[in-house]
Parts: sequence; structure tokens; C-alpha cells
Amino acid sequence: MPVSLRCTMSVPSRVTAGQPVEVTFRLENPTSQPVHVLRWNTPLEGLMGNLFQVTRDGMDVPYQGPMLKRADPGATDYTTISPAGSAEGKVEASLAYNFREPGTYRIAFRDTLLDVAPGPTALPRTREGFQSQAVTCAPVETQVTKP
Amino acid sequence: MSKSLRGNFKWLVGAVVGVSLLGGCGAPADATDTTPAAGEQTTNGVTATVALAKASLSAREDVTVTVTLTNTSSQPVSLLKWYTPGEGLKEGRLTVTRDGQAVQYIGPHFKRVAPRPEDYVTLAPGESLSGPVAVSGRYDLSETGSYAIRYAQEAHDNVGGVSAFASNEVSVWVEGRSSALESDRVVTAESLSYSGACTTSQQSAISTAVSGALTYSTNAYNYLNTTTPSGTARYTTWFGAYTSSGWSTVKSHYLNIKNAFSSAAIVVDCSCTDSGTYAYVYPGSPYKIYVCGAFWSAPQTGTDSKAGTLVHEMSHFTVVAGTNDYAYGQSAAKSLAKSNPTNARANADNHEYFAENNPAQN
Ligand SMILES: [Zn+2]
Repeated sequence: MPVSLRCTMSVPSRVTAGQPVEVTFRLENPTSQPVHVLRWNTPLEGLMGNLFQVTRDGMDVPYQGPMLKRADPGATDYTTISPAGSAEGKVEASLAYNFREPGTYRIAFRDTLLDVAPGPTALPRTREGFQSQAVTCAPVETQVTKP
Repeated sequence: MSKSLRGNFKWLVGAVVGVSLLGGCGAPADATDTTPAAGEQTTNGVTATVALAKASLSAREDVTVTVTLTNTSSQPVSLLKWYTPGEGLKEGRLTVTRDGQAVQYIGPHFKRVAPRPEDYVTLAPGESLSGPVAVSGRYDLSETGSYAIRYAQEAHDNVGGVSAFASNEVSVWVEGRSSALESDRVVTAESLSYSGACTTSQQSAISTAVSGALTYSTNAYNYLNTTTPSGTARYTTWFGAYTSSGWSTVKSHYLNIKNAFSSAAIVVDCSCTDSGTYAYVYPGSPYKIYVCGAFWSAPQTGTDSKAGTLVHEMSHFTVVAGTNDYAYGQSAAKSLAKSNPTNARANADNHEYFAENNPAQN
């Protein structure tokens, strides 16, 4: 049974070119059960993959950070979100996407959590046991201005 | 048993910072000393000097020294072409050491008959003879290090009274490359190099994996090129419901992947040791592939193999197929093919598993 998690993101509405672009990502667990979320490829673990679709004035901004092929996870690769609780991660998006050009940037989370496990699940699971889940986070926008 | 990646996050996040500050990762520029000063040593009328054009050489560059022999006596001297620089040189007359240790000659040996008159070259008094002498391919340069090279002839190399003579010594920093024996076996050897202190046995495993990845991607391309496009089991398992445009997209991906494995300048880096990661790349920095701890325990071929991992990584480069990691593992990749064929055709593991084709499907 999929657990429905709520996702929100935020970013400063204006950033001077060359300054950090900090994206805050938050997952909320509205259920009455704890839930375990694999942090891979989410901002909960940092910027370790092409997590976002970033556009500048509608044009794709390519990801320039590392992309990993991973072996099975460990239990510590999961974050447990308590009932009615939340988990938050912040990443500095300009480290891996070029935000140096002035313009309107739109940042959308690629909508998949690779493994989501309800409370009593024994962790970790192997990759073959992953239960991925889509989450919808409303995209956010920031205006990058000339220094 | 899998290990936590946590300790390695910082390291890799650090790598991201590196991207932003440095705009990419260069190979370690470890070039050390070396001045190819041409000293000389004379004995009995023949002087030899050795010179180098560069003080450090990457694994992709051939290592060649220029040897010059000069007759400094007032008499003509005859030297056997077999041992003089230029086209005729067929044997090792170089002494090569790395960090003080003798380096093995791995070049050809020829069985000789008695020299004939045409096998000699004569140098008039004051005359010089100069030419290149190959070091790579003839000497074992698989280890990175500082190599010292000299040229010498022994007394019995020649007849007619030319005594033994030796040149000055030059030193050169050489990035290790797979041995010549390995190179002969591997199609891609000329375009494959290493960074991050890969050991000799790691280089050998990588070289085999690159061959395997070339085979996988060539077979995948040939399958898509020769099979009548349709919803075959192999295609739909990994790329979802058949469409002609989807088929051609995937076919073009494998064309690029196989071409990259056969002719791109691939660099494989061994500096990552994280046991929870097979490999990673920076998609905008072709064709450098970082292999990590889990890579070494993977089988050479088959599911999540070394060869398959290289296909996965190659597909990430923007100039190759620009894939993403939407799903990891066979089960998730199959689900993705069913739920979202567009993303499956843009997912690295789907490309890897289609290429590995394990268990085999038609
Ligand atoms: Zn990947």
C-alpha cells in the first residue's frame, strides 16, 4: 500500500548571479504510521545526482555534478519520518547547475522517491525489493539578477 | 551486506564543489623533475646522446627518445643497423629503470644470422646519425613513475674495433599504461587510459571490461539495427511499449555508446573506493569514468557486471545518450518500462540491462 507523502520546495525568490542558490526540500508524513524513505537522489542526502529539472527562461540547464551507479543501500541510507512529522534537506543547487546567467530559473524535483517503506519494514531492502513512489512537489522559481 | 554511503557523501559532495570551483576534474598533474639535458659520454670514437621532447607523458602518448650517434674519431666507423636508431633498430639497446628498478624489455627479439655488408651503416669522421627509438611498446611502462632511459651498445654488438659506449641518461615522468601485451588484445587500448592510481591488475580488469562494454553495446546496436522494429520481449522488458520513435531513439543511443567505446579517449579513474557505489561520472565531462569499490566485486559480464556498469556510465554523458538515474536495479527498471517508457528510454540502468540481456531474451 503506497504511503502518501507530501512534498514542498522553496528557494529565495531573488538571487544575485554568483551567489548560492539554496533549495529547501521538505517531505511530510500525514499518516499515523512512521515511514522510511531512501534518501538517494533526493535533497535529503545532498546533491548526488540529477535531482532537478532546471530551466532558465524555458531552456534546459544541464546537470554537471556526479551521477552514481549504486550497490544495495544500508539501513542508514533511510530517513524515518514519524507520524505527522517531516524531513528536510537543503542543497546548494548552483554547485551542480549553472545559475550564473541572469534570468528566471524554474526548479522542479524529478518526482520519484526510489524506495519508500512503511513503519514495520525490515531495512535495508535490496534494490530488487525497492518500492518506488512518485511525489509531486510544486516547482519553484527564482530570479537571478546581474551582480 | 551493504555499507553506509554516509561517510562518502561528503567526499562526493566535495567533488561537486570541485566542479563549481574548478570547472571539472583534470587528471593529476603529477609531472615531476626531468630535464632532458643532453650530456654525452665518449669511448673510442662514438658518442651517444639521448634526448626527450617532453618531461612528462600521459598514458595516451607514445614514449620515444631521440638517439644521436656521432663519430668523433678521425676514422670511419661501421655500426650494425640492427642496433642503431632509425628504421633498422629492432632490439632493445636502451636501459630503462623506474625508481631505480630495471624495467623489463617486452619488445620483439630476433634471431640473427651473421651480419651482411648491407647490415652496416658507416659514419664518416664527424658524421652523426640520429633517429627515434620507441620506449613504449618495447618496455613495460604499466606503472606510473619516473623512468630513467639511456642508450648503450656493447662491444660485441659491432665488429671492427668499436668499443662499448653509452649515452647520457634522461628521465621522464610516465603515466602508467596497460602493457603492450594487454594493448594487443584490446580493441580500445589506444584510446583507454587511467588515472587515480589504478593498479596493474585493476588496469587489466578495466581493459577487459571496456572490451566487454564494446561487445555489449555493439550487440545491442546490432540487435536494434537488424531486428524488424516491433514489440519484442527484449525491447519491451527494458524500454516499454513499442513505438517506432522509441526504438530509433534507443538505437541511436547504442550507436553513440558503441562508437564511444571503440574510439573515444576514455579515461578510467580508480581513486573512488566506496563499497556502496559501482561507478560515477560527471555527465558533462566525457569520457572520464570513476570506478568505485563495488565495481571490483562485480562479475566481468552479466547483471550489474563491470562491462554493464561501463555501458551504464557511458550512457550518462550528455554527448552520448544523456541518460539519468530514474530507477536502480532490474526490478525497478522493469517497472519503469511499464509505467513510463519515456523515462525508461532515458534511464541508465535500462540501457545497461538491455545490453547485458540477462536472462537472455529475443
Ligand atoms: Zn547512473
